[in-house]
Amino acid sequence: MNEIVLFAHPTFGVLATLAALWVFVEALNATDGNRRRSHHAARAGAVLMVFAWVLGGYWYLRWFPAEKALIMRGPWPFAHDFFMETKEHLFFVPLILALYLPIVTAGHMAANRGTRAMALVVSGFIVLNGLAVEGAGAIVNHGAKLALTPSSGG
Amino acid sequence: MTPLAPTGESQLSPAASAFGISAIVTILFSTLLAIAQDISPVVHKVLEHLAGHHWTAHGLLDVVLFYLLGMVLWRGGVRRDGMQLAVALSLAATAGGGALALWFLSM
Repeated sequence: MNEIVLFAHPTFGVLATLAALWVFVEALNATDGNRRRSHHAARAGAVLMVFAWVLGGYWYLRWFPAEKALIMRGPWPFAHDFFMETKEHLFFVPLILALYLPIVTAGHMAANRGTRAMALVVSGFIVLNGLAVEGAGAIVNHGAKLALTPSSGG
Repeated sequence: MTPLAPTGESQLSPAASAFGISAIVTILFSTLLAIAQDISPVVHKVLEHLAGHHWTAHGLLDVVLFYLLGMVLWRGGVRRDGMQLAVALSLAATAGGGALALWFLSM
Protein backbone atom coordinates (compact mmCIF):
# COMPACT_ATOMS: atom_id res chain seq x y z
CA MET A 1 0.00 0.00 0.00
CA ASN A 2 2.77 2.47 0.91
CA GLU A 3 4.42 1.88 -2.49
CA ILE A 4 1.13 2.77 -4.19
CA VAL A 5 1.01 6.07 -2.29
CA LEU A 6 4.72 6.67 -3.00
CA PHE A 7 4.25 6.30 -6.76
CA ALA A 8 0.76 7.82 -6.93
CA HIS A 9 1.72 11.24 -5.60
CA PRO A 10 4.32 12.09 -8.28
CA THR A 11 2.05 10.51 -10.89
CA PHE A 12 -0.77 12.89 -9.99
CA GLY A 13 1.80 15.70 -9.94
CA VAL A 14 2.94 14.84 -13.48
CA LEU A 15 -0.66 14.59 -14.69
CA ALA A 16 -1.46 17.99 -13.12
CA THR A 17 1.63 19.44 -14.84
CA LEU A 18 0.52 17.96 -18.18
CA ALA A 19 -2.97 19.42 -17.70
CA ALA A 20 -1.36 22.85 -17.16
CA LEU A 21 0.77 22.35 -20.29
CA TRP A 22 -2.44 21.51 -22.15
CA VAL A 23 -4.02 24.77 -20.96
CA PHE A 24 -0.85 26.66 -21.98
CA VAL A 25 -1.05 25.32 -25.54
CA GLU A 26 -4.81 25.99 -25.72
CA ALA A 27 -4.16 29.55 -24.53
CA LEU A 28 -1.53 30.06 -27.23
CA ASN A 29 -4.18 29.11 -29.79
CA ALA A 30 -7.23 30.52 -27.99
CA THR A 31 -10.42 30.51 -30.05
CA ASP A 32 -14.12 30.28 -29.31
CA GLY A 33 -13.88 26.60 -30.23
CA ASN A 34 -11.41 25.55 -27.53
CA ARG A 35 -12.82 27.67 -24.70
CA ARG A 36 -14.66 24.84 -22.94
CA ARG A 37 -11.83 22.35 -23.51
CA SER A 38 -9.31 24.72 -21.89
CA HIS A 39 -11.58 25.17 -18.90
CA HIS A 40 -12.06 21.41 -18.50
CA ALA A 41 -8.27 20.88 -18.64
CA ALA A 42 -7.74 23.58 -15.99
CA ARG A 43 -10.35 22.03 -13.70
CA ALA A 44 -8.81 18.58 -14.18
CA GLY A 45 -5.40 20.04 -13.34
CA ALA A 46 -6.73 21.53 -10.09
CA VAL A 47 -8.23 18.20 -9.00
CA LEU A 48 -5.07 16.29 -9.94
CA MET A 49 -2.89 18.77 -8.02
CA VAL A 50 -5.05 18.38 -4.90
CA PHE A 51 -4.67 14.58 -5.17
CA ALA A 52 -0.88 15.05 -5.45
CA TRP A 53 -0.97 17.27 -2.34
CA VAL A 54 -3.04 14.86 -0.23
CA LEU A 55 -1.14 11.73 -1.26
CA GLY A 56 2.26 13.44 -1.05
CA GLY A 57 1.31 14.81 2.36
CA TYR A 58 0.29 11.37 3.58
CA TRP A 59 3.61 9.93 2.42
CA TYR A 60 5.57 12.83 3.90
CA LEU A 61 3.94 12.57 7.33
CA ARG A 62 3.65 8.79 7.56
CA TRP A 63 6.79 7.41 5.89
CA PHE A 64 9.27 10.19 5.17
CA PRO A 65 10.75 10.58 8.70
CA ALA A 66 12.44 7.15 8.38
CA GLU A 67 13.59 7.98 4.84
CA LYS A 68 14.94 11.34 6.03
CA ALA A 69 17.04 9.63 8.73
CA LEU A 70 18.40 7.28 6.07
CA ILE A 71 19.25 10.12 3.67
CA MET A 72 20.99 12.11 6.42
CA ARG A 73 23.25 9.13 7.19
CA GLY A 74 24.07 8.62 3.50
CA PRO A 75 26.47 10.37 1.11
CA TRP A 76 23.83 12.83 -0.17
CA PRO A 77 22.40 14.63 2.93
CA PHE A 78 21.73 17.65 0.70
CA ALA A 79 19.02 15.55 -0.97
CA HIS A 80 17.02 16.33 2.16
CA ASP A 81 18.57 19.58 3.40
CA PHE A 82 18.17 21.43 0.14
CA PHE A 83 16.00 19.49 -2.30
CA MET A 84 13.34 18.10 0.05
CA GLU A 85 13.12 21.27 2.14
CA THR A 86 12.71 23.42 -0.97
CA LYS A 87 10.33 20.97 -2.66
CA GLU A 88 7.96 20.61 0.28
CA HIS A 89 7.44 24.37 0.49
CA LEU A 90 7.74 25.24 -3.21
CA PHE A 91 4.90 22.80 -3.90
CA PHE A 92 2.39 25.27 -2.46
CA VAL A 93 3.09 27.69 -5.34
CA PRO A 94 1.84 25.35 -8.12
CA LEU A 95 -0.95 24.19 -5.79
CA ILE A 96 -2.31 27.75 -5.42
CA LEU A 97 -1.78 28.45 -9.13
CA ALA A 98 -3.60 25.22 -10.07
CA LEU A 99 -6.55 26.25 -7.88
CA TYR A 100 -6.53 29.68 -9.55
CA LEU A 101 -6.24 28.52 -13.19
CA PRO A 102 -9.90 27.37 -13.62
CA ILE A 103 -11.04 30.81 -12.37
CA VAL A 104 -8.95 32.39 -15.15
CA THR A 105 -10.07 29.99 -17.90
CA ALA A 106 -13.72 30.63 -17.01
CA GLY A 107 -13.09 33.92 -18.83
CA HIS A 108 -12.90 34.45 -22.59
CA MET A 109 -9.26 33.96 -23.63
CA ALA A 110 -9.91 34.54 -27.35
CA ALA A 111 -11.55 37.93 -26.79
CA ASN A 112 -9.70 39.20 -23.74
CA ARG A 113 -5.94 39.49 -24.00
CA GLY A 114 -5.61 40.04 -20.25
CA THR A 115 -7.34 36.74 -19.54
CA ARG A 116 -5.18 35.01 -22.12
CA ALA A 117 -1.94 36.49 -20.76
CA MET A 118 -2.92 35.45 -17.23
CA ALA A 119 -3.75 31.90 -18.38
CA LEU A 120 -0.34 31.67 -20.09
CA VAL A 121 1.52 32.94 -17.02
CA VAL A 122 -0.36 30.77 -14.51
CA SER A 123 -0.17 27.56 -16.57
CA GLY A 124 3.46 28.28 -17.49
CA PHE A 125 4.47 28.65 -13.85
CA ILE A 126 2.60 25.49 -12.90
CA VAL A 127 4.62 23.61 -15.54
CA LEU A 128 7.97 25.11 -14.45
CA ASN A 129 7.31 24.57 -10.74
CA GLY A 130 5.84 21.12 -11.37
CA LEU A 131 8.97 20.04 -13.23
CA ALA A 132 11.19 21.49 -10.49
CA VAL A 133 9.28 19.64 -7.77
CA GLU A 134 9.33 16.37 -9.75
CA GLY A 135 13.08 16.73 -10.34
CA ALA A 136 13.70 17.44 -6.66
CA GLY A 137 11.67 14.33 -5.80
CA ALA A 138 13.93 12.23 -8.02
CA ILE A 139 17.00 13.58 -6.21
CA VAL A 140 15.45 12.86 -2.79
CA ASN A 141 14.74 9.32 -3.98
CA HIS A 142 18.33 8.93 -5.20
CA GLY A 143 19.63 10.22 -1.86
CA ALA A 144 17.79 7.37 -0.11
CA LYS A 145 18.95 4.86 -2.72
CA LEU A 146 22.60 5.87 -2.31
CA ALA A 147 22.29 5.54 1.46
CA LEU A 148 21.26 1.92 0.96
CA THR A 149 24.07 1.16 -1.49
CA PRO A 150 27.14 -0.24 0.37
CA SER A 151 29.66 0.91 -2.26
CA SER A 152 28.42 4.51 -2.00
CA GLY A 153 29.87 4.87 1.48
CA GLY A 154 26.42 5.33 3.03
CA MET B 1 1.58 31.54 -31.66
CA THR B 2 -1.44 33.68 -32.45
CA PRO B 3 -0.56 37.23 -31.38
CA LEU B 4 -2.52 38.68 -28.50
CA ALA B 5 -5.34 40.78 -29.93
CA PRO B 6 -4.03 44.36 -29.60
CA THR B 7 -7.48 45.90 -29.37
CA GLY B 8 -9.10 43.27 -27.18
CA GLU B 9 -10.22 44.01 -23.68
CA SER B 10 -7.60 43.32 -21.04
CA GLN B 11 -9.62 43.75 -17.84
CA LEU B 12 -9.96 40.48 -15.97
CA SER B 13 -13.33 39.35 -14.67
CA PRO B 14 -14.04 40.33 -11.05
CA ALA B 15 -13.39 36.72 -9.94
CA ALA B 16 -10.12 36.39 -11.86
CA SER B 17 -8.99 39.82 -10.57
CA ALA B 18 -9.86 39.06 -6.95
CA PHE B 19 -8.36 35.57 -6.87
CA GLY B 20 -5.35 36.75 -8.90
CA ILE B 21 -4.51 39.31 -6.22
CA SER B 22 -5.20 36.64 -3.61
CA ALA B 23 -2.84 34.20 -5.36
CA ILE B 24 -0.05 36.82 -5.32
CA VAL B 25 -0.58 37.54 -1.61
CA THR B 26 -0.80 33.81 -0.79
CA ILE B 27 2.42 32.94 -2.64
CA LEU B 28 4.31 35.68 -0.81
CA PHE B 29 2.71 34.70 2.52
CA SER B 30 3.61 31.03 1.93
CA THR B 31 7.24 31.92 1.21
CA LEU B 32 7.53 34.10 4.31
CA LEU B 33 5.84 31.45 6.47
CA ALA B 34 8.26 28.76 5.24
CA ILE B 35 11.21 30.94 6.25
CA ALA B 36 9.58 32.16 9.48
CA GLN B 37 8.95 28.63 10.76
CA ASP B 38 12.63 27.84 10.17
CA ILE B 39 13.79 30.96 12.01
CA SER B 40 11.29 30.96 14.85
CA PRO B 41 10.58 27.90 17.04
CA VAL B 42 7.44 29.74 18.22
CA VAL B 43 5.99 29.89 14.69
CA HIS B 44 6.93 26.22 14.20
CA LYS B 45 5.15 25.26 17.43
CA VAL B 46 2.06 27.29 16.57
CA LEU B 47 1.80 25.56 13.18
CA GLU B 48 2.22 22.15 14.81
CA HIS B 49 -0.46 23.05 17.33
CA LEU B 50 -2.87 24.11 14.58
CA ALA B 51 -2.85 20.88 12.56
CA GLY B 52 -0.54 18.36 14.21
CA HIS B 53 2.32 19.03 11.77
CA HIS B 54 3.85 22.28 10.53
CA TRP B 55 3.60 21.26 6.86
CA THR B 56 -0.08 20.36 7.12
CA ALA B 57 -0.89 23.67 8.82
CA HIS B 58 1.20 25.57 6.26
CA GLY B 59 -0.70 24.09 3.31
CA LEU B 60 -4.11 24.53 4.91
CA LEU B 61 -3.36 28.15 5.85
CA ASP B 62 -2.29 28.85 2.24
CA VAL B 63 -5.48 27.37 0.77
CA VAL B 64 -7.75 29.06 3.34
CA LEU B 65 -6.04 32.43 2.79
CA PHE B 66 -6.31 32.06 -1.00
CA TYR B 67 -10.04 31.36 -0.95
CA LEU B 68 -10.91 33.71 1.93
CA LEU B 69 -9.05 36.74 0.58
CA GLY B 70 -10.28 35.96 -2.94
CA MET B 71 -13.91 35.87 -1.75
CA VAL B 72 -13.53 39.14 0.17
CA LEU B 73 -11.98 40.92 -2.83
CA TRP B 74 -14.55 39.39 -5.18
CA ARG B 75 -17.41 40.68 -3.02
CA GLY B 76 -15.69 44.06 -3.06
CA GLY B 77 -15.98 44.05 -6.87
CA VAL B 78 -12.26 44.63 -7.51
CA ARG B 79 -11.17 44.55 -11.18
CA ARG B 80 -7.63 44.67 -12.52
CA ASP B 81 -5.90 44.75 -15.88
CA GLY B 82 -4.93 41.19 -16.80
CA MET B 83 -1.59 42.11 -18.35
CA GLN B 84 -0.47 44.02 -15.26
CA LEU B 85 -1.70 41.37 -12.85
CA ALA B 86 0.02 38.66 -14.93
CA VAL B 87 3.33 40.54 -14.59
CA ALA B 88 2.78 40.93 -10.84
CA LEU B 89 1.97 37.23 -10.47
CA SER B 90 5.10 36.30 -12.47
CA LEU B 91 7.22 38.44 -10.17
CA ALA B 92 5.62 36.94 -7.04
CA ALA B 93 6.06 33.34 -8.25
CA THR B 94 9.68 34.00 -9.28
CA ALA B 95 10.48 35.81 -6.03
CA GLY B 96 8.78 33.09 -3.96
CA GLY B 97 10.57 30.19 -5.63
CA GLY B 98 13.88 32.03 -5.71
CA ALA B 99 13.68 33.04 -2.06
CA LEU B 100 12.90 29.48 -0.96
CA ALA B 101 15.78 28.05 -2.99
CA LEU B 102 18.24 30.66 -1.69
CA TRP B 103 17.04 30.22 1.89
CA PHE B 104 17.48 26.45 1.95
CA LEU B 105 20.75 26.72 0.03
CA SER B 106 22.08 28.99 2.79
CA MET B 107 20.95 26.69 5.61
